[in-house]
Amino acid sequence: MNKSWVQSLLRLLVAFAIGLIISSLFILAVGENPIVAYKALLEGAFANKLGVFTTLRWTVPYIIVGVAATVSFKAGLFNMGMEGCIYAGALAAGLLGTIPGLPPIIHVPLCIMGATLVGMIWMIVPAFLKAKYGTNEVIITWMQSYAMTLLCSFLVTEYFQRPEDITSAAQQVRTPFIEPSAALNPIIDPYKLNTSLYIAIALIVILYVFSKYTIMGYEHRMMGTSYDFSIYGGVKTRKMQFWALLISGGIAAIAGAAETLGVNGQYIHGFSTSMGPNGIMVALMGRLNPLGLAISSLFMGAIQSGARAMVRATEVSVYTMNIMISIIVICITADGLYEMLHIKKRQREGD
Amino acid sequence: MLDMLFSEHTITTGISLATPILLCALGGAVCSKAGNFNIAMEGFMLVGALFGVVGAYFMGNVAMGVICAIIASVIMTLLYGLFLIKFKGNEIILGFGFNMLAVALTGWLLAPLFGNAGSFYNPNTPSLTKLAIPIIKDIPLLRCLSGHNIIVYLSWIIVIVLFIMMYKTPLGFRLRALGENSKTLDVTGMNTVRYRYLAEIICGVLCGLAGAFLSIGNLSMFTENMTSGRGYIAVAAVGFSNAYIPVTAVASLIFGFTSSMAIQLQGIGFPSQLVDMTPYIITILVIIISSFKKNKDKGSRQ
Repeated sequence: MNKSWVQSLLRLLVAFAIGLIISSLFILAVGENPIVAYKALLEGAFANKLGVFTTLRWTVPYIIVGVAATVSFKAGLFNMGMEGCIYAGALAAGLLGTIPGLPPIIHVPLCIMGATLVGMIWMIVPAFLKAKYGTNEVIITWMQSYAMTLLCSFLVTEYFQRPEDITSAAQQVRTPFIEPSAALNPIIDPYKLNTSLYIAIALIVILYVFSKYTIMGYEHRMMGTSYDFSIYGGVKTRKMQFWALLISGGIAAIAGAAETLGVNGQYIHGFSTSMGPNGIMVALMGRLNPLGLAISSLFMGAIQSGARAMVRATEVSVYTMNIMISIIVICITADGLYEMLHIKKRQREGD
Repeated sequence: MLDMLFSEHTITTGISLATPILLCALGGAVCSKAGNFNIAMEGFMLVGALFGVVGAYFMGNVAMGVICAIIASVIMTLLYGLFLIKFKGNEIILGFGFNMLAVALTGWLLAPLFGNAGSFYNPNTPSLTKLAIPIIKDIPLLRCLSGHNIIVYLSWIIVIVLFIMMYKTPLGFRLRALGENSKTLDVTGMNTVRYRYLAEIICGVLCGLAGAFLSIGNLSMFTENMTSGRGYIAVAAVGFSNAYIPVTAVASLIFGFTSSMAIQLQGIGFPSQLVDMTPYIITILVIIISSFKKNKDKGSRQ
């Protein structure tokens, strides 16, 4: 048990080191000093109050989407459609948020529940096909994600946008502002970090308790590790697969709702800067472990918040950070790499 | 309205929209038959597209552009193969990572190569010439098949060549056996690793061609993330056809034609978002229908 934990950490460190080395080469290639660049990034993310709060502000949605991804990954399913769920949840929350005359104690949960429901409904088709026919969920969730993103943009432009917003300078597709009663308020005023932080923390705790202390969590985990074994053990795998995808979609939608209610105060199309894919990265980097998830979300949040400072201070482009993250993701599942480095015991051929 | 939807113009556009999807889907089908459900074609194609323009611009020769595109794409697939085969990575996560790497890498390279971020266009860069087929170009309707660039014709030939290779030669038999049950192949003393890399290389060549078609097939230009999901639609075509090459080809053509019709619809004031949605919706419907169908087949066999 303890050993697998150490192994996990070592693997992560190796992947991180490879990512760091390769991105350093890219920084050197533009004639900059990698240490200076990374220092600028860290300073931008942590050195002042604004930086810290911006880092945390980005950490929150990453945690939520990361939990959503973990729920599906742990069950051995790849929900690639989280971006669509995020948009769907954001739009649902944005629309429910405009209902006037509700007390905050009802209004905020209503918006979040509404978003969750929409996210879950959106996942019914792939979940049903997976559970009933064993259809590969990767393509369908992925395609749905694109379709949903476009659908949200269409719905807002056609039905929910106020005419005065169309002519505004921003030219963004957006809904009217939500009522103050629906808002997730900032924790410390001028900064964008808001009470959705508590939602993120709650989700992490729930995930931890669920997978560690409940029978269903054990079955859920088992199904992802060894599908045949879990069938043998009597796990209702089909039902589990169905709900894993649904819940994954629902949680992803909460991330969208949190962005709408907490940060933007309205649905703005294009607000999710690849939050879905980034959530997948976070889950993978966190090795599907709740604590790892929180740390990797903080890491991604810091990059999001510090990259701008780095770009300002040096000639390094933002792509360098994306190169680093993708290298980490590529390295992270490569068992052979760790066998070669003697971190992981070689598995017998055919196991 | 209907005759506009089914005009010769729609067909011509459909063919050129289908070509990159077709090439990627063929690459994906070969990988899929060889036991690798590859979703990274989008990334390979994107890298191919960038290096197509790079080759054409810096060497002033469009053929060099195509060759550069293929080489770059093959290098990416070999790297993918290394992580998949040697390092035993998860194919979905690897595919995801490589797609992201391709976006980041091509975005990064734009600045040092061309000095500007986001996109590159230079009117002096050569692009592929359109070739007319002698007799066909005068026959109504059939003339839609004429007047495309060489990659389009090549893609049709590749469909036939790949089909023969996969189903009529020992090589294809081995590749397919790899996907069916790689251990039996191991037992016969065959070097399975070599065949697995071969499948990746074939995929790389095809994705490179697809990328070259996008970047130097018409105008010579490259914009950030210019593949815009075509590689994913190719994945859908592979899934839809169960990687059986003739069906893969037909599926790719259908996707191309529907996108072409969608463009026509946009011309008459249909909301652009709904139009853009069509390939995704079709893919989703196809997956739904094919999973119903597959289930029925399974039922009848038992």
